[in-house]
Amino acid sequence: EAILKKDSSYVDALALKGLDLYSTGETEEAKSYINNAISKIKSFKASPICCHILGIYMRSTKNYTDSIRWFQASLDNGSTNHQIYRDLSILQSQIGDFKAVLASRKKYWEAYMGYRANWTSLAVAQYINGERQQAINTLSQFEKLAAGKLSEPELYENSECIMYKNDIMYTAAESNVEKLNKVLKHLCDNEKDIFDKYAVLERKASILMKTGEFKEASKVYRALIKRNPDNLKYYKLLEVTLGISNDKGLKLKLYKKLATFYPKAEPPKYIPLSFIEDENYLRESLNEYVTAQLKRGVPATFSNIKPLYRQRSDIIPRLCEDIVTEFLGTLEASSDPSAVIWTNYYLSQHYLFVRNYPKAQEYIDKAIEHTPTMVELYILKGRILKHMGMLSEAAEALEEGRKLDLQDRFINCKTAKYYLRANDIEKAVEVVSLFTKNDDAVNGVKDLHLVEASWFIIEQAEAYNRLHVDSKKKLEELRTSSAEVTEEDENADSQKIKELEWDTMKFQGLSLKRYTAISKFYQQFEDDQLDFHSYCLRKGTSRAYLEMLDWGKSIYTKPIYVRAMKGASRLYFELNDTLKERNDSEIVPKKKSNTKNKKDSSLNKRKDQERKIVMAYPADKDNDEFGEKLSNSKKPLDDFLNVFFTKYNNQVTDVDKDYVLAFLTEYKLGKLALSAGAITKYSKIVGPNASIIGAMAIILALATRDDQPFEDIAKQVARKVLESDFSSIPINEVNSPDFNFIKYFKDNYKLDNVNALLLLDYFQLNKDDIKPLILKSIETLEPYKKIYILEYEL
Amino acid sequence: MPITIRRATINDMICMQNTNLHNLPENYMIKYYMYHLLTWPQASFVAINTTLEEEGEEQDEFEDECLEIEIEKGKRIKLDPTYVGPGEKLVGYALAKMNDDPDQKAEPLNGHITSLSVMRTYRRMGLAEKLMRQSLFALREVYNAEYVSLHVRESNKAALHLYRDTLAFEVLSVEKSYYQDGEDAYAMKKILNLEELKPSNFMHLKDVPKEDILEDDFESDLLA
Repeated sequence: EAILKKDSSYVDALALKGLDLYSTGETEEAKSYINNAISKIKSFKASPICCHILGIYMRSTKNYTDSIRWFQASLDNGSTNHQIYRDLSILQSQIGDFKAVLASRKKYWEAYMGYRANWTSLAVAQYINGERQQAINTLSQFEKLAAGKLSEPELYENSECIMYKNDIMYTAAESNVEKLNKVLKHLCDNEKDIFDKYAVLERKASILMKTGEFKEASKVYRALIKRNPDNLKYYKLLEVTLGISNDKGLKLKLYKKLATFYPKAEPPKYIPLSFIEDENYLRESLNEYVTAQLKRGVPATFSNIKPLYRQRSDIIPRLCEDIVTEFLGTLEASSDPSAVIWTNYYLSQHYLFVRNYPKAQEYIDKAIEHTPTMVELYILKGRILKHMGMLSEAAEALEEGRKLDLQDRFINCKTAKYYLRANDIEKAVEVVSLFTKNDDAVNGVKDLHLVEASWFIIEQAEAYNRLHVDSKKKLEELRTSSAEVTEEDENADSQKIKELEWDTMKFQGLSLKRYTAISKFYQQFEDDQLDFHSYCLRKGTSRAYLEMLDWGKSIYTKPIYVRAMKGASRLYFELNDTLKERNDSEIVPKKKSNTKNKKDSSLNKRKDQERKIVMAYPADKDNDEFGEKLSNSKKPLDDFLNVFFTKYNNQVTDVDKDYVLAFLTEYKLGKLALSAGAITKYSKIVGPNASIIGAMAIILALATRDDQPFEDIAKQVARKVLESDFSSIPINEVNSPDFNFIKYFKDNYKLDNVNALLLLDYFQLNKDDIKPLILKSIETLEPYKKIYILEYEL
Repeated sequence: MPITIRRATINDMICMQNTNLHNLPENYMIKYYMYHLLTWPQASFVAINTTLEEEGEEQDEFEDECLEIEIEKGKRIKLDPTYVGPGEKLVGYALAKMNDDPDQKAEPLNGHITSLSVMRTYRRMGLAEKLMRQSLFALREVYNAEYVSLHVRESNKAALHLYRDTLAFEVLSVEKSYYQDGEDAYAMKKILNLEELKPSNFMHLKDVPKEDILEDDFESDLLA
């Protein structure tokens, strides 16, 4: 402070003051001090201390790239603080710059060779950079230094380090038998010092398999099975080592034998059911497997056998239906209540699987009649109703079950989920809030955000989205109808319209807000890794650490992130299209000035009440409770890229990529060449004749029409790709008004892929022609999906 | 498929958190799971319902079917919070750690079960027991824990039964208002003995006399 008073441009003091303010929570003021300091520094020339402070500030604000720059500058400007190398390596690891990590780790190791962590860190950095032999040498060198000097608490770290070295040796050996035998020898020599016996045995088995020592390998798998008789993988690999994968007779013998060693393990009983051919024997074995579980009262009996229903759909469902129906017959005389319940429950699931809804209902009703207090039964009752498309009734069934066990969070969550599916958000929040911590909130929404409860947030985002679609439809209807009404009704209508306008926007904003929350969770997961870059290596858990790095590289491809991205994409595209329309028609948006000028007190009052209900974050950390800012963005496509797509696109593999989404995104961005690329790549996976490819190609072809607003060069590239990769598409017809592309699609592609048809519909191509095709293609879908498509996709 | 019990990895975390949020009132952020799995990578286990396709021929058939009905390849993993990977649904977990409280340095090495949970629809299959047996064995074998401790809600009868009757934990004390909502907890403890803990010891049916129990010696011909 004193220095700043004397000389307000002294950068060291400015930076320090900035960091100090940041640490006391005054982030805005901190920022201005920091920016002021930085503006006075030319090309990173400042005192090492100042640079160090700026680096720490940038790290605190999660600006890792700049933090690295300032830490580096501190060293370049003469800092002798070696700790900076460690901080640098952590940040470089976080952003994935592993070349730089290696350099920093080396410097730090040179300064502090007395710590094993620094040797391990160096080895890991070498390994990631492909320097396997150097990594092995580094680890060995330390082993020599430490030989005989390890104390008891260091033994676990030692064990992990030895196993890690074996990992590297194994990777480096590839399929070279001589090298593999050396890896095996290393493993055996050190076995007593490695505590992770699963790792030792699994490694041994892999090496023996690779070197062709199947007999020995089989013994190791037997040892692994003994350690964990419930791991399916070991049994499958044992089959391979015994060379009997294709011999059903011998396999049967094997599993019979194993079942005597491990009577309580599932795999020896289950696996034969997947290959026994003789129908009578299969029936007998199935009977044994299924009825034993039903007698024990296992609710998941059907879930356990369900994979076989799919895998052997020609025989298993039929046999199981017979077996369980018969079993139920034998039960009715006896008095085993648990078996009666779960057998009816099984049959209900069976009929739900084969889509015989009346029978499914019949059996679940029987079960409930028999024992009306069992929560699981109401979950299934609700599930059947859901599949039948009766979402409100489904939620009510769950609610009935929930009331039977108010202590059980599982039924509570399921009930909330079903209310959300039925678009009853209010009730869902009420229910779910019974288990959340609602200290300073009117409900649990804030807490669910705090504990990263993705399942709820994503369901809520989707419910808001459906409500948005609903109110938009209502709004459109009202607008068209109110054009024809008398003056008297007009006032009432305009009030209604105003409310619907607000609802439409509110639901859109809230949906985006929730989807964005999911993206934030995953960003947080990525950031959460930061502390572990040095922590793990101090603990010696480098193998788990490397798994974390792999995980970090695929965070944005995980199921819920992808689901949120796909859901959000439609909203962002809609916002983009609306903005474009407005710009095209060059009309000043009338609505906006309307809502701003007219002070509608009742609406504002409603808004204030609702604000508390939808609040997702503490009030001082969020001033956009309804997501209005998100839906009023001037650059919705950029938002989509920043919040979702770019992170996904950088991480997803070619095989797993959602090419339809990539196609749409690039199309909306006007990048037709990249759209075309998406089709080409996708056609290599699903084949060029797939109808989804046809739909995409037609949409791209029509984008090259003269009246389409894309750049000429983009159109030319798209046309070229279509001509070379999809030559059957009649690209020359795009400008002829009489050519019906839907008819072309109908004549040339299979029409059973509703997604392809919906894609064409999304681009509003000959709506009248395509609607009947869609209706036909969804005929065989279950009611739930059918209704969803009719209401929200068309 | 029968449920596979296997060691928990970093990749399972998001689904473990989901299972926890569905079943229990005590919830943790991902970082807390990371802390467990990166400090004691061998201590925690998960139960996975697998529907992995058969290898070889049938896999190809499945591929063909994919082409025909044009399922997008990436879609093979359901966009559902319970899926760890394609056909791998997480239905239960045991999250365990070693006691690393610096105030208890004088204590012998001991482990702690942070959280155990099985989806309600997968109960009564002994999954919780199997998960616990693997975790307890690992705490002893890998981390040299002399005993393990845990807390259980006074009202949680099923858990109490599992710990006390099935797994032979002893109740040490009742801790008043241990949970945030004010409920009391039983503090429980079990001495760990490696030989006794071997998971294969618990794979035999109850009433079989010892001399009738068959054990794999790893040498005899399995196909004879």
